Order: sequence, then C-alpha cells, then structure tokens
Amino acid sequence: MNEPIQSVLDGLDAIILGKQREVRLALASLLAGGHLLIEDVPGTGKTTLALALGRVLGLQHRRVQFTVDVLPSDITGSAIYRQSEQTFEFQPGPIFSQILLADEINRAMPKTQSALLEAMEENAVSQDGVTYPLPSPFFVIATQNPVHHSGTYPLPESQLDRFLMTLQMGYPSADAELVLLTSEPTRQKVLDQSALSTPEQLLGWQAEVQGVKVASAISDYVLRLVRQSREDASFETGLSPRGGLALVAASRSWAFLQGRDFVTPEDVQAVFVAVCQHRLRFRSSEDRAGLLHSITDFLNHVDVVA
Amino acid sequence: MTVQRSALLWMLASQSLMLAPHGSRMPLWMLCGCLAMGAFTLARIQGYVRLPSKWVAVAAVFMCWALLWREYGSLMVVEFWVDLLLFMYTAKLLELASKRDVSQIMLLSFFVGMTHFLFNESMLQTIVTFSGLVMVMATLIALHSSSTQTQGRQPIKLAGIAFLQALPLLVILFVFFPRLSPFWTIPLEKGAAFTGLSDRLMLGDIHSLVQSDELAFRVNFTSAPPASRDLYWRTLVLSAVSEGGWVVGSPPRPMPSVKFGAEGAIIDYELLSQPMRVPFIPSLDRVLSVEGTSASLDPIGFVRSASVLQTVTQYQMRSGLNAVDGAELSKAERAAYLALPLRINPLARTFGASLAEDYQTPDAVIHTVLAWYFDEFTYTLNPDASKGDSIDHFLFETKRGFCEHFAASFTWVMRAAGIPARVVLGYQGGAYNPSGNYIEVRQFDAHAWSEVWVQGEGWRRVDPTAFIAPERIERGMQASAAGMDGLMTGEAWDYFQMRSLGWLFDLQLQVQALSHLWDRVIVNYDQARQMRWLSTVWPDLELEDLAPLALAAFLLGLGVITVGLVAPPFRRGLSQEARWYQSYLRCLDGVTLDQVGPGTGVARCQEAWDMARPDEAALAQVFVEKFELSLYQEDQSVSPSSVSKALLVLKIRLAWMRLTGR
Repeated sequence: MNEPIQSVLDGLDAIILGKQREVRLALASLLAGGHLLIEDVPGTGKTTLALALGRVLGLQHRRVQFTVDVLPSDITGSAIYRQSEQTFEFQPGPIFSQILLADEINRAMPKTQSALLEAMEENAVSQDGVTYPLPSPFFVIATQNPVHHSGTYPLPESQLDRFLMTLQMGYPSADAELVLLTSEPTRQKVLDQSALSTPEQLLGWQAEVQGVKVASAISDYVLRLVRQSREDASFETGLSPRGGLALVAASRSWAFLQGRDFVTPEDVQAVFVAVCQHRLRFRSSEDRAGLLHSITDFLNHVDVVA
Repeated sequence: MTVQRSALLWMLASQSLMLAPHGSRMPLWMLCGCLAMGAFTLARIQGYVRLPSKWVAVAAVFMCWALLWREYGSLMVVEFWVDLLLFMYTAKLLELASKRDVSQIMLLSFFVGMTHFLFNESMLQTIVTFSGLVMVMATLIALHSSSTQTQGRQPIKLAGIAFLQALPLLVILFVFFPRLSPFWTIPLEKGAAFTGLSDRLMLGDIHSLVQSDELAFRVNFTSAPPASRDLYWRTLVLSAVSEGGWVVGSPPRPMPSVKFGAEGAIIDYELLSQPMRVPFIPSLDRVLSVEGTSASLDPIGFVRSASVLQTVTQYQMRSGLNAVDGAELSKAERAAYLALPLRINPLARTFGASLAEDYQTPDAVIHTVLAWYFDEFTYTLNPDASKGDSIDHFLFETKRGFCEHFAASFTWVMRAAGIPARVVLGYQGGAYNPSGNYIEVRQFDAHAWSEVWVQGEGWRRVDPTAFIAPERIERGMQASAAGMDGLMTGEAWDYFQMRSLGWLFDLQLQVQALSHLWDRVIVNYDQARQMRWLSTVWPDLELEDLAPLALAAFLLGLGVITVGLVAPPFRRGLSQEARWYQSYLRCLDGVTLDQVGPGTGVARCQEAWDMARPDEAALAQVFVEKFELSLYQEDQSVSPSSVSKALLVLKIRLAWMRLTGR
C-alpha cells in the first residue's frame, strides 16, 4: 500500500481508538466515491469519525445539525435579493463543501431529507432553473440515531439506497475506553490534527480504485449474491441492481486499502454487511445481532466459486 | 478424396502401429510391400500422386497369393492366413477413396490386433496392441468429427478417455467371462522351431543350445529355493542307443512293486514353462506329483505332456530332493539299460569290460572312471568336432568335451562294465531373481548327466561334469562361462556381458520379474485358475454359473454406463474452478473443514488451516497463489494446467505427509 494512505489510516486510528475496521470501511466508502451513513446511539464517536475524516484528508468540511425545523434551503442555499443590483443572488448553503457532515439526519423532516439526498444523487443543486455543481470530491457523512428513538423521521428505503455504506460504531473495547477516559479530549485531538493528504491525492486514489481488477469470477460471485438475496427466505426484499454495483465499488476500494490491485471474494465479504444491511429488508424484526447472523449465514451459503 | 487429411494421417499412424509387431516375422518382400503402400498413400495425402488404376490393386493381390504360397507351401498354417490378412489390410490403401474405406481399414485393425496374440502374449505386446487400438479409435473419432474438432491431439485424447472408461469392463470380462478352449487349432508353421532340448542326444547338440539365452522356464518355490548344485531339472531320460546317439527309446515299465526309499527333502513349486520342442516338461530331481494341463508322470520318473507345448503353460509340482530311489530292476529292464550297439565305439566297450574285470563293486568302477576324467580331461565349451566313433574319439583322442560328452561316454562305459545306466537331459541350476523371488532357467543352462543303477540303492545320479568343472554345478553356467577355456559366443555371451553392468542388470531383473508375473497371472489365467479364484469369493460356484455371472456383470456395467449417460449431470456441471476449489477443500483437515462452508473463499480457508496445522497449510501456498492469480487476477501467464499441477503436487505431498506422519 502506498505510504500516504497508510499515514491517513494511522492518523485516523490515533483519533478513533480501537475501531480499525470501521475506520477502514469509512475510508473505503469515500474512496469509492460513495456516501456514508453512520448509525448508532449518541456518544459512540459518529461525529468524531466524520470530523476526523475531514481533517485528516484535508478536505473542506461543514457540519449541519439536523432538527425538525431545518428547511431544505438551509442545506442547499437560497436566493437572496440584492437590493443594490435588483437581482436574486444564490447564496450557497453548507452543502457546498467537500465533506458535509449531516448530523442526526433522521431528525429532519422528510422534505429536508429528500432535498439533501437529491443533491447527493445529482452532485448538483438546482435553484430557480439554474444548476449549481457541488465541489469535487463531495461526500456526505450522515449520522443517525437508531430508528426507534423518539422524534425521528426514518429515511425511506429508496433514500437509504443512496448511501454506499452504513456503519455501526459500536461501543469501544475496554482498553480503548480507558485510554479515552484518561487522555486529552478527543475533540481537541481532532481539531489539532493536521491534514495528511490533499484533495488531489484523494481524487488520484479514487481513480486508482476504479482501476482495481474485478475478475469475471468475482462478477459471477456478486451476481450469485444479488440473485440469491432475492430468493433467500430471510429477506423480504433482496438487493437491487444498484446494490450489486455498490457491492462491486466498495469491494474495489476495500481491495485497494488491502494493498491489492484485484478483488477477491474476501473483499466482497468484508464490505457485504456495511453495503447491504440497509438495502435488505428482513422478514423477521430481530435485533441487530440476529440480523448480522442471518447475513453471515447467507454469505456462508452462497458458493464462493462455482 | 473426400476424407479429411488429419483422419488419413491418424489412419496411417494406427495402421503402422498395428503392423509393427508382425514386422520382424513377416517375409521381407511383404514388409517392403507394406512400407511401399504406406509411403504411396502418404504421398497421395500430400497431393504428389494419384490413385492408381484398379488393376494395380488386383495385380498386387494375385501376386501376394502367389508369393505367400511360395513362402509357406500350405494353406494349413496360420502364418499364411495372417499374412494374407495383413497384406489385404495394407493393400486396401490402393483403393482408398471414401470415408467408408477408412472405416473398413479400421474395422480390420481390430482383427489384426487379435492376430498379435497368436505369436506373442507378453506384456509388452499387450501394451503395443492396446496403444494401437487407441490409435484406431482416434482415427475413427477424427474421421467422424468436423475439422474444427480434429485439431491436434484432440482425437487421441478422446480415444484415450474412452479406452480408460472401457478398462473396468475389460477387467470384468477378463475375470468372469468363461475361459473357452479353442474350438480348432491350426499349427503354427514355425512352432517346431522353438529352441530347446530335442528328444535325442547327439554330441554337439547341447553345445549349440548353450549359445542361446532364450528363456526355458521359471519356477516359484513355496519355500526358499534350493542351492544351485541341487537344481537338476530332469526333462528326458534317454535309455537307448541308436546309430545316431542316445534316444528316449521305449524302456520296459519298471516293476510295479517299486517302493521308494527315502523321499529326501520334499519341495513344492510352480513351474511356468515356455514353449518346448519336445513333449516333456522339466521337473526337479525326483518328481512325486504334477498338476497341470495334460501333464502326466511317466513311470520312470519324468513329466510328459500330451503334446508339444505351444504356449506358456503352468504346472504345480512336488519333488523329493536328493531322494534315494531304491528301485529294483526287472530282467527286461536290466537288459535294456545294458544294451549297447555292437558296431560302434569298440574301444570304449573294451575299456568298460576291462574295468569290470579289475574292480569288483560298481562304486569302484564309477570312481575309477570319474578319477580318470578328473586327471586327464578338459571341460570346454569349444570341443573339437568328433570324427568317426564319436565316443571313442572323445575318450581316447581329444579328451576335451562338454557335459554331453561326459554324460554320453560315462553312460556308455558303465553299460560296457555291466552297470545299468542311462543319460538324463535337462537343465542344471538357474538364476535367482530376487525381485520376483523365482528361479529363471535359460537355454544355456541345458545340461546332460548320467544315472546308474546300484544294487540296493536304485538309480543314482552321477554327474561327471561336477567332477571336472565343479564351478559349473556350484555356481551355474555364468560363473563358469566367464573364466572358461573357449568362451561362449552369440546371444548367451551378450547376456552374460549384460549382467556385469550393475544397474542395467537390476533393471533387467525387474523387467523379467514383471514379465514372469504377467505370464503367471494374465497369460495363464485358465479355467482352473478362474474357478479357484472365484471360489475363494464364492465357494459354491459351479462352472455353469460363470456364463450368467459374466452376463450379469456385463449388463451391470452397461447399466452403470447408461445411467451415467442419462442421469442429470452430476459433476459435469462444475466449472474447472469449482473443481479446483472442491478438490482443495477435500485437502483440508477435518477440524478446519468444520469451519468452512461453500461461502468460504480459499484465502479464508487457508487462514483457518494455517491456524490449525501450519505445516500442512504451508504445502498449499503455491496452489492458493496460483488459484488466486488465475481466478481473481486473470493472469494469463498462469495456465489452468499449472494450477491443476500445483493442486496435484499439493495432494501428493499432503498424502505423503499424512502417511509418514511428518
């Protein structure tokens, strides 16, 4: 693996303690050019991860705290009337940044949510017939509280589909938590963190990820996964074609992070939960452990080579 | 021609292979003719020449008949008909025009394949014939498939697979099919030309025989084989003298009250005899019983067979080693064993008579003659040609001779001295083959010795050669051949030269042992053996049950094949990669295997294996690398065969590691 990537990973690991897998998945998501949804109870470091990514990658980032009364224009920007020139001038909203940290996205109204998601999909904001392109690279890192928390508007499946990956932070391990309690505040560490790479480097890496080889054996495997997910008894809805594309894209960047220039089935399996858990609807409403178990079970029964 | 070029080339190749075993046997003119027709067809395929007028073919056939008639002079020899078949088989090339002609030639090939075994049933021959059959099938495949399918080695590959698939059926038929004896026999013209002992002893006969390294017979002992000096293989007993020399004659039957003295050491053995010139089978010393096709025990103690052996034949025998015979002689017998023709060898007869006057006991006479031999005679492989009365000439002029000279003259002198005596022809010694644990006797082991009758003791073996050239008896022919006056020449000499080349000799021993095993197990698998073998599995088996059994086995095999063809593809649907993967999974040890499912990739399997058994997993590293390179990196430089090879190496090394526990 090239050195800058390694230093980025090291920098992130130093801030987010004991969450190497989540950190790598988050980075993989960005390298694949996909948006990221981080989901967990408050206080598990969702926002820290998002901020850290922004700082370490040297990207210009903004944060929006979503609440019920946040309007679409608060995100995308609005036209302001300039009296001196007698014209409306578009005032770009916080979405015009390289990383948008959308905190607690499920507390916003559906209308606001869909405005954000539309912009994510289009990579542009349309206002009064004029299209304003978003900067490049452009990522949304959204966080949300578990859906059953009060005062939430759950994102519909169609919109969840726009996120490449969903991550659960989970509680830190005992060792990591002890360090967390005794060392300087994490937020301070984030703010002190200098950029370890440039946006140009990131774009370069994204191009490299595109060049990672996906052999026909892997395409076949992904195809089997997608098709079987539609037939599997434990899923109500299987993966969409977009789900399959997302799986391939995420596998590519995971392989890249492993320092390889080709995808192996292990890469697909490594990203499968993160890419697919929000795209699959489970028949039984189990707890998270149960869902993970049924996904693992599913993975274990689809032929890796056929 | 409407036939594809590749099919024609396959045809020529398979035809050559099928003709090759006959090459050294067939008349020279025919060999040349076959080669010429082959070359002509090759030129035709290349487009240099065109099909000749049909009169050429007609003329060739008539010429062949005429030449064959000149060659054999009779229609009642197999060679005539075989050669005719071979010629027609080749001459068909002269009218080769369509696919149908090629098919016909290939059909004939199967008959030609059968004729191979008329002349040679060895393992090598079988391998050659079977390869020829595979080639024939390849030709048929090439003939009936489109040009894109007949590229390169594809036909032979398919034919090979078909052949391998047929092998189990072959084994079933071989084991179960009733062994029929032939309904008719046509004598082989050259059947009488086998080398070997003849039924009379002329001085010089054995001498010419010891130039040959032809195999005579092989013997497996149930216990440790006796020492070389005890291995006297009696084959013929020559009781009468005629003008030409010693002959078998027709000695009177021994007295029925014959009771054997001490039987000596009893020894059981299995003797596998090559074709012989005479209807007598070698047996060890004093033979007590014999089992085998049309073999019988002659009253005077040797084994006869009903007819001259044409094929390799097996016998179970029991003998007493160094037995004391204790036979009494009747008057008629006594007269017969003392009879000498009057006109020849007068000196020898007078000498014998004088011995009888000088010495009272037979023992004294015997010892005097042997001592005389020892003092004044030379054992040589190059005796001078005898003139006139050959025994007189040898005894009183040249004093140089070979075993036959000593045995013949000794017996003559004994008879002249009034001691009943006879000449025994056979083989002495043999080479022990440690690879196959048997003794191998070749023609150069041929030997002649005497038997004299002593009152109270019966027939006693006296071998004058043992006195003059003890190393011949103690260590066998090859020991004496090396340092002997008058080196051997010809094949036998080459054979001994060969033995001095260490590794080559070892290799030769292995090959001989293999060929012996082949003769014993395959060639000699006759009805008796079949029944014996099958009754170990199925004790109540009757001969009549064999046919239904063979039929049942055949139908069962056919059924299995049919099911295999009709049933839904079982493993056929698997891709090459999946087969590699499954095969790799089977290599994992049990513990690791429990943790993996169809969704576990090779890399994760390898990790788990490495945790459980790092030493075993290390062996798989090469395969895993190649597998991933080929499958996930689609590296063109990694060929599928190299992955398969890596897998095979893994399996072999793993099996070895698990077997040896290292």
